[in-house]
Amino acid sequence: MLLILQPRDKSARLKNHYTWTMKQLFSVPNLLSLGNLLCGCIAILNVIDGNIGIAVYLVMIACVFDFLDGFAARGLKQGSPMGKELDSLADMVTFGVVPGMVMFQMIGYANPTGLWGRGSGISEWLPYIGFMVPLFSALRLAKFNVDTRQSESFIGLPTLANALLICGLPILFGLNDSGAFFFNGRTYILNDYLPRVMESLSAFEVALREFWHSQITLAIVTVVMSVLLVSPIPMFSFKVKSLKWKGNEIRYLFLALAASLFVVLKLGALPLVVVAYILLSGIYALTKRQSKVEL
Amino acid sequence: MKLFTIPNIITLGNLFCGCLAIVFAFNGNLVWAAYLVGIAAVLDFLDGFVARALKQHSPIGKDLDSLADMVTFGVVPGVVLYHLMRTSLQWSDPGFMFPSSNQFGDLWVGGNLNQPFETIHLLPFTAFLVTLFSALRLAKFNNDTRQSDSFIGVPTPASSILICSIPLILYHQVGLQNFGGELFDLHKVDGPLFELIGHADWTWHYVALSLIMSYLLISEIPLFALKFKSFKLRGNELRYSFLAAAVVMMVLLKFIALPLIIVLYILLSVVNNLFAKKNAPDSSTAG
Repeated sequence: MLLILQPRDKSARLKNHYTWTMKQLFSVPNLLSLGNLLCGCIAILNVIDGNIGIAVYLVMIACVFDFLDGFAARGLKQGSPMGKELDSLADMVTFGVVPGMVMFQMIGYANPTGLWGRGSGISEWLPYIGFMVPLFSALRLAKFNVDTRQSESFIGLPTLANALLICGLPILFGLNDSGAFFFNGRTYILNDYLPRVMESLSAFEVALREFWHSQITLAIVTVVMSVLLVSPIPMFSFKVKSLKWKGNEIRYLFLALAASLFVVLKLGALPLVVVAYILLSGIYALTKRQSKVEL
Repeated sequence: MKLFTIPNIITLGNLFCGCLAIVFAFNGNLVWAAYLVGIAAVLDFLDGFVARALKQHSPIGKDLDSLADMVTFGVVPGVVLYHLMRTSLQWSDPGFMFPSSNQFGDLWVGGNLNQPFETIHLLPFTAFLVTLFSALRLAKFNNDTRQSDSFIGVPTPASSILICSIPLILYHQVGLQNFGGELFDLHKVDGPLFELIGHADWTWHYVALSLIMSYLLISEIPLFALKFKSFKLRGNELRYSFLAAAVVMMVLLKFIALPLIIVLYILLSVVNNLFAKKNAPDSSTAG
């Protein structure tokens, strides 16, 4: 027995090495990252329980945590490779798994498009396409952590923007925070009152809702967002050096557009704001390329 | 940068299993959630193996692996433990109605409008301590140069195997049919072990388990890794004896062996460290 337990492992020599202290593990930035992760876990619980609308609030709280942890790390000078890693792990859950689950649930609830009926093979299996979002978010995060180019602008859609778009969709569709339809000032339980809600809408509104709340549209949105996450399109970030108009035109334009959208559509504007962000980034990238050619 | 290499695709398969396991766990099918964690563990082993065999090591692959592990071995055990705690709370008191899931959920899941909020409703959230500490463990591990040949603190797959074996034991060996995705039906219970442990109120055991696992994940206990450099007996005595014991236990005890193997693994490592400390001068001269 003694022979078996001979210290052939290097573990024998480990005791002299540097060890992690509790203070390093539970530093303020790390605790904020863990807060982000906890928001993600609670969001997953609620989303799978059919309470999709709440995801957007929890993701927004998580965004605040995500912003604060970087801020605290810089402010308190507690930035560490471990904190960076923890941040990316928390982002994986909050901005990767949560939107994936929201998509899974939304496609499950959505109307099957005329091609197939509810309960048919494709209709049953299509929700699983929602899991493309966590997979591509993971690729995006892994790529971002290794990529040194992405300090001033992002390459590919940031996971946070993707999460806000997907989690904002239920709000745009009129699902309020308790997962019930909210229309004309009245609240309706999902599915049960749907026909009655539909009666009170105009033909155009019904067509629009049918289009957006159909399985195939949501599946296409999933695929497009997944591709955008790992695409090589440069996207502008808000890490600015100065607040001057010159050089920041695109950012001010975006902020003005976002503000006006929020005034009109309230929280439902969130997906549209992200779409505006993607389009403006595309235009920005094109003009930048042209100006380079002129030079 | 190549994203879709074979090891990376295997890692994505691991992540997909994790996502699927979360959905299964929430539909009450903890047994399949546990099986998916098992499949994910195999894929987790394979991706490192394939990366070494095909020489496709990349920093992206390493990062992707840890992100996938976060979901599969971090979030899934938290969710499984959460569900076990909820179920246990319901069993322990027949009159106790845990807020059932419906469309009018509150921030804590499915806060029923008819069910006033009680502090004990928050108890299952302690399960997510495992998720939080798994994140800490993974972040620590990736930046720890010491952990190439041996681990420091319990690795996340070990903790998730321990936690996910509980529903497997309860379903296959205790005879509780509740975790097969069926509705609660206590009349289906008939198993040899049910008389022994089936009636116990396990809620606080689960809380204790989540606290202990959380501690072990970030503890500074060195644990031997099952990475073989050679397959010779000499130098691998500990690994071979552990594997032999594990196989014997699996054959004799089936799923009950899983948590025991993890406990044995931790104990063997601790004993090994005690002997290692005694012989420390020898090993330092040897190294």
